Amino acid sequence: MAIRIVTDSASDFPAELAEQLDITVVPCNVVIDDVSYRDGVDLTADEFYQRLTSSPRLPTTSQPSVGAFQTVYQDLLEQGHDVVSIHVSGKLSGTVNSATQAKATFGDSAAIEIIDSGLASIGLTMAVRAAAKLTQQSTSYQEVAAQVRQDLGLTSVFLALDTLEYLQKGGRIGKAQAFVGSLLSVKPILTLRDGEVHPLERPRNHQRAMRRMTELVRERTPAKQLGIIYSTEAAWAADLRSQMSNLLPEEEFITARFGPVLGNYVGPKALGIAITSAR
Amino acid sequence: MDVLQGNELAQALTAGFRCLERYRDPINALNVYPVPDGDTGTNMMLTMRAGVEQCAQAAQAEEATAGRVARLVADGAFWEARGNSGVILSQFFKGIAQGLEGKEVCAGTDLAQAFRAATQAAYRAVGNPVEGTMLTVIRCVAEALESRLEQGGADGNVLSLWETAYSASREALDRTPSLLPKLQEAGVVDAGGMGIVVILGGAYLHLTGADVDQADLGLATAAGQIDPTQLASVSVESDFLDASVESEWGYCTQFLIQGDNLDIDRVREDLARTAESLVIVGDDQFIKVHIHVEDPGAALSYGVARGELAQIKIDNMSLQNQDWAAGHQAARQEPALPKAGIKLVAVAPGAGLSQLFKDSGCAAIVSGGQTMNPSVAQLVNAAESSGGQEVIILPNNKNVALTAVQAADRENDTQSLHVALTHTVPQGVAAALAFNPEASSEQNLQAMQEAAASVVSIEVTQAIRDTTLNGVSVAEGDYMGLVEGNLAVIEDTPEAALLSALSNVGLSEDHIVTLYWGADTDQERTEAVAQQIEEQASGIQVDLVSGGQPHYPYFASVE
Repeated sequence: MAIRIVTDSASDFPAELAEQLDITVVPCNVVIDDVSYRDGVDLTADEFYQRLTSSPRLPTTSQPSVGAFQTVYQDLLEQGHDVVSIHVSGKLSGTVNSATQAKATFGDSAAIEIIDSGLASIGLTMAVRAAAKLTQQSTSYQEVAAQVRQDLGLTSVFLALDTLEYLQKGGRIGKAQAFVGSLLSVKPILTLRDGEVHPLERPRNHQRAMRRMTELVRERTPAKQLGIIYSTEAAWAADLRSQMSNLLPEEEFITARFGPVLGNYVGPKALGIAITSAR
Repeated sequence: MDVLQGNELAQALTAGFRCLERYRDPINALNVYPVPDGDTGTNMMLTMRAGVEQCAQAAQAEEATAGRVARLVADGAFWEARGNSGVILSQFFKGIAQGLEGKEVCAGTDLAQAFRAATQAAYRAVGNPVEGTMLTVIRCVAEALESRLEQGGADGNVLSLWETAYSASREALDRTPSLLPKLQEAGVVDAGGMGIVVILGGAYLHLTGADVDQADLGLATAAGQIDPTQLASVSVESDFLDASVESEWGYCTQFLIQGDNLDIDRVREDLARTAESLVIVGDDQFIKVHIHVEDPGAALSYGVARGELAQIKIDNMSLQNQDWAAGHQAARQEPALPKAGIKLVAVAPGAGLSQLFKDSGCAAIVSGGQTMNPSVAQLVNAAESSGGQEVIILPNNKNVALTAVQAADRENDTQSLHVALTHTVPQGVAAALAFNPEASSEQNLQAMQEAAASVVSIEVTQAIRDTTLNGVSVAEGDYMGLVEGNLAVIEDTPEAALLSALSNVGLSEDHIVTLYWGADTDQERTEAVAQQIEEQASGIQVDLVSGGQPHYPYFASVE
């Protein structure tokens, strides 16, 4: 019997690391040309981005079903585990609702804690990985959940997008609407705050966006963990990582990739950084 | 003549204004830089116009005190101030009004006191007062009046003191080139200073009984003695502010409200909800209204509910831009929302630049710039229409900066105005892109000023006359490349001027160059020159924008 962490695929949690840390990632769904795919299961990132730029209609996404969560929780509870289930911001997705409804089917006494992280993607990855570490030090899933909730504010997420087009078409642009439209090419930098997307800066090209991203991270050091994520340009992510290599030991870095669900909103050539600041 | 009655003061100021109206073109021609931005005379005239019309009205209608006449001119000038010289002139009148506050009539000692207050107000209007400008002229007048009174020479005769003032202003004007080397080099006297001389001279001649519409003040420009027969004719009963109206929309509606205890701020605020191009001046008994509205009937009903209406005039403006008008009417149907958030208002010359600022997040655009300096009232109206609780104004021109600062100085409880002091369009674009509607005004102002400071601005324009600048002789027709407002290069074509200005700045592959091509340039030529820039520094990013600005074939920024 142990405490197990559950999340959803909007965390973009690397599959290998999930396996290593016994983390269950419940897939969200992506619908392309009327066919529904489970994120990361039926559809890889490479396939997705190829379809994203060639499909005439923008793909849509949906949260995992209540049933998908029920199955996962049931398995874990039957194995005698307690569950801390950490999810993408409720303001961006209905995932946390599905999880909450699934939990309710097991009654009030079920050992499941559901957390709306207010984060997404690499930011959520940070919270989930920190939670997995906490399970090694604690025997109380409530205690782990309380600590996770308390630490959520330590994680900052910055996104540098090539275009706001996908975020806008997908209806997740939030307050970053203010940055939509400029006759000049800009590479908008956005952040997540209070569970929503907010505008931050408008550098004029990719190089300056990269420079500002590293500066924004450095302003929040010392770091406890760092994550870098990309949609299509692995080399850019590697470049960012090498620029920040002196901030943390190698093992505290996570490099991930925007999966189909997030990719549908950030689009090609997107980069993201998350930093969990030391308290 | 021991004292000036209120109506006599009003007539004298009106005469000064009429003289300014006649002399505006020679004053316009007095600019140091041979760039097509000479509009000091026009700016001063437009600044003074509304207040003078208003005080002439008040003086006719009833017994007006000297204090009230001065106040009316000052209030009108405050709202209509445009260009740096206009802002200084408006502060000059503000000082005059303070000096005559509560005075029934204007006696000799009052005149001296008024000029002393006017000098202080004018010097305070600019952050860094420079001698050899209209400030010097105003100060010398105040000093001459004081010393004349100390010597008891005038026996308190107002006409004689006015003569003292006028001749002191002329002497001071003649000295401006020796105080300011750039005037000396260009072979001109200060334009704003001449404006003061013309106003005082017109008033003086009127007081002596001369016809100011024929008078020859015997002034000279770089081109030689001004021929009074070549001056612009005075537009008798000219349309109220016909030269200053920026939008061609709806019905141009003008009327005068006469009543008791009129609340001009309230009237301005109420009418701003449905009107454009507002010019509203007056006091608690007379309010002159000039607005562009969709429904003139509603505006007249509003006015008649507050007092008696007079001088009603309604014109249907031609709809020059159907798209804009359509969008505008749709917007007008929305109910007025409470002011909220931080909004940006930018001053932009040209359709392309207006679109760029709009696209970059500006809530309202005031058309204007180098030769079309907007007034305080236009900036305040745009701020009102932006709906922001706080508004940051981007003047984007050094000639608009003071006007913006004066606009921010107005009293208003529901909206506070700030100015990001951008002196060029490229600075303004960089500042607009640094704006974040979610940050505080302090954070935004800091980020925007930093962004503006991080770009080097280049402007290319054509010399409109022969002159010498910084030791370099410039011939009419030459293309000048200005870097950060200073003449850097002279070439035969706009493209050559642009390229040499850019190489003066020094380009590297890390730079981003943005080219804004003007109304008289085209995309093809801009693309060709962009290619040359890319060849000069491989890997450099060159972005092109159709700016549509007049007079300047290219604006460019390097960042």
